[in-house]
Amino acid sequence: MTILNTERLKAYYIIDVLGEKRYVKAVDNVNLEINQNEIYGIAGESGCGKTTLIKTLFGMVEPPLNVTDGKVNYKIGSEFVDIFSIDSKRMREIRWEYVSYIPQGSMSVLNPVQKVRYTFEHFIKAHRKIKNRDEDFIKPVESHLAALGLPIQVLDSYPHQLSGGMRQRVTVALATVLQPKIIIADEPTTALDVVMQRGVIQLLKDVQSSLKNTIILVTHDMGIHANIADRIGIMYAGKMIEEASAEEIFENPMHPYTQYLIGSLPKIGDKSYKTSAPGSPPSLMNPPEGCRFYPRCNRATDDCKAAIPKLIEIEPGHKVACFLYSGVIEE
Amino acid sequence: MNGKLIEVNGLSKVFRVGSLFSRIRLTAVDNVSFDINEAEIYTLAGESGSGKTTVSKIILGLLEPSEGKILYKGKDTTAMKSEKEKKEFRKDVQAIFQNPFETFNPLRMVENYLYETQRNFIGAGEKEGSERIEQALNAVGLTLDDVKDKYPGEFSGGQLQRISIARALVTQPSLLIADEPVSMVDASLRMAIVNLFKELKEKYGLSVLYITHDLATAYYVSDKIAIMFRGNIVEKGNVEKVLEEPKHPYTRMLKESIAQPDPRSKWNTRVDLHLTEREEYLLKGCKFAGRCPHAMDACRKENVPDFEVDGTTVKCLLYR
Repeated sequence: MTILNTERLKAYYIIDVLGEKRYVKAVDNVNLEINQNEIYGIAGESGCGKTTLIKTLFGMVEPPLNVTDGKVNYKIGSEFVDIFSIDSKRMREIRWEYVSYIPQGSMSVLNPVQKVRYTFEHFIKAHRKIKNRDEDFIKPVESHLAALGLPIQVLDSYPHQLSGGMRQRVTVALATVLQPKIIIADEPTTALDVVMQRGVIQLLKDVQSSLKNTIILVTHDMGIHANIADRIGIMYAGKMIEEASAEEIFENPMHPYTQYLIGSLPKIGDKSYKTSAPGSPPSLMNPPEGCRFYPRCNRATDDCKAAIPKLIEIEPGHKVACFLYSGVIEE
Repeated sequence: MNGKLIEVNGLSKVFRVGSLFSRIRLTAVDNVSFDINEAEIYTLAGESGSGKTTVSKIILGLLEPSEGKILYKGKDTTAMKSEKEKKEFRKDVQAIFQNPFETFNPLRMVENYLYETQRNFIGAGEKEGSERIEQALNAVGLTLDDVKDKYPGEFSGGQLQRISIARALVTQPSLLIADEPVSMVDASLRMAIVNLFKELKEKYGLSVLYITHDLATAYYVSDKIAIMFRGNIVEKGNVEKVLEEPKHPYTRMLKESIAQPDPRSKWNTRVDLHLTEREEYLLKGCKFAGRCPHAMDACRKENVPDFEVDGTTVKCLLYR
């Protein structure tokens, strides 16, 4: 059952250079269907537009970022709500209660001069009425932390007293305290040690299995995707180029870029020669015409230069945007 | 036959942390010894706060050790006095840093770095200098024309990292010290940099001290590995031996914690995270005892010596 979808979403950064408008096409024509009770992973390199995409999904669009076309719909109750057509009061209600966001570098989002308890209180007050402090605030927060396996003492600590991994887990707890239906997490494990990464992923999995909600997880680390995601979407230069179940992406990657990405992953116990895709990702200010991967692709033809391939379902549940598999052109 | 290039013997570094009244001594590096041979890639792996960067800084001469010796080609580098000797050492041992975007001044053209290194260490004329720089750039798959008159902002992270490797190669060093050289580089370009180290080793007989937290690339590229934990080397040996059949309980946990890029081998056990970094540093005996499933009373009391097991060196009483 779909809980969030996008229709031909285009989010561009519009920069005014000496009276001339320049467009950075960070999200270009993306269609997503994300289901209830699933973990959807979005993978891609830095600068491919994945952070812009999820900012847009969260409705956090501020200039220079503009949604130039398309819609983002949340399914609330039985109807779809277009988040860009509702007023800011309604959006405020939806945010954090219906959908929450764990931003990138969330280790530094906690207020450094206030104890963690204050941040939690502030956060809950904005959404719920606290009549009885004990009943409405302290008890639910403490039971939430206990359920996530975090010590209660963190509430009385200042952020700098906690380790990076602990701060990250506190932000996960903060983002989930109102039991949202959708959690959007941007690189929650980056900059953490391997053991701590595992702790954070374990926590996200626990949250998901107890709330039965949806997690949209963005990371460039394919190992994390393999461990947690049900379905994975691969982004390249502002476009979704492949989407399939995690098993399919790793065992049967179809798009040449995905094949490079999966083929270059080093593994313990495998010393065979691995190589990267040649060249480097294009600038989103001036992306190549046609398929955006063709300058780096070893199977590119003249068709790839002329037109953009559309993301098409090739096998059940497996979508690819590549002329090797279908000739459908994106309009 | 490969000779020893650098020998690190009983290296320790103590930092004093805390305020004036509650000062504690933190042994960031505790009695660390290892050797790197010629034409060998040696990995120093560990989590953040394991002391691996401190070791590299001591080798580079950026920090003074509290104890221990470093013999480079038989000479003690910590006792080097004359500028001439120091310069010779710096010419032979070059460094590459983690973040290529911070390595270069954004307002300075990148070629200046190459020419400056050339002037400082080689002092050759304009023409010969340019040839050397061209050679160094060719070794990393670039040409002088690619970098001429360009600012760092015009390159991608992968390209900048290649240029910083080329800069290090200008002096024709014997040892490269690379501190997390790929952690800021995109996945699709990462292997190109790692392959470059292999190539430089095979073509020019260069040795690399590769410092990383990423065991998968370490396995791929290196010959030998040392696993550091809270200032100690807990296990060292051939990379295949150490990572395929890890012996120290910490190495086992670390290996298990890697997110393998394979959806069929997901994590099925849970991890335990409780002691903080500082608490673990201050533990007596084995620093891992607080989390180790096999911890015995003896582990918490005495300093654990190294044991030779099946070709690898393990700091664990299980192998007593």
